[in-house]
Amino acid sequence: MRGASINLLAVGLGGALGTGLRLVLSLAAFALLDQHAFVATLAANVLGAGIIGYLATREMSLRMQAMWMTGFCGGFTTFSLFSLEILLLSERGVLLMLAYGAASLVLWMLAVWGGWRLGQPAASA
Amino acid sequence: MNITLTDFVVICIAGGLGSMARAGMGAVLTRAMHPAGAVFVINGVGSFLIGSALGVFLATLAPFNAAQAPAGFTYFAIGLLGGFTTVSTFALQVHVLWQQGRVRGALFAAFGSVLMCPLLAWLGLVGVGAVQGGG
Repeated sequence: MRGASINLLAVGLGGALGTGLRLVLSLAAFALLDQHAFVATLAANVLGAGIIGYLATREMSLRMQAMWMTGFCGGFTTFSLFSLEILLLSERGVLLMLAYGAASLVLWMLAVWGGWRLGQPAASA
Repeated sequence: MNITLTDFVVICIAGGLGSMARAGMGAVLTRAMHPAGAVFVINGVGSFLIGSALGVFLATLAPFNAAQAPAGFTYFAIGLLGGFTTVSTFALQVHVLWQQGRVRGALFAAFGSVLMCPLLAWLGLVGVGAVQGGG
């Protein structure tokens, strides 16, 4: 029970770190790209998917999994903001919305697959 | 987007709390369903709530300007719900299903999430509008 509580705290710590890093990316995107800041969410989601794909191939303790996979990658990426951005893009055009949705799914899946491949031993790659 | 140091710290803490809520809810849900189903429920709930929050804080979609979003909205949407929902675990679950040869399950999880979650966000937004309009 005590171990489970510490793991939950590890999730919280990793989640706070990931959320902070995503916010930094968003602020940079707002400063550099103004209204096209939704690319920051896409970038965070693609990066986070790549990192979790890689980490899934590594041997690590439950606590490290809790902190880096569930916490950090989970907090860094966000599905709710993706949903919100799809709504906001629908105001600017259905094609743009569909393109963003489709591109997001393809890039997330390519990223997780790429991270997974990167983590495989050389012999099986 | 004007973010003070206090805002930054609050959003990080909210993200940590959201992540812990996700871990807790995920542990409960996976007793009754496949992990991919649990991630779908979590992302669906988070998406519905972010649409509702948009309705509560901003009332409407059209003039949305993130640079002028109220602090409460950024704490809740970028922090709490950002930490609560996840793309990384979702993508990993879809990948694992595919690797296991469960192609239909992988496609169902992938397209189901990408179609349903924005729809749930829209329902949240419209639902809040209806409640406020009727109240």
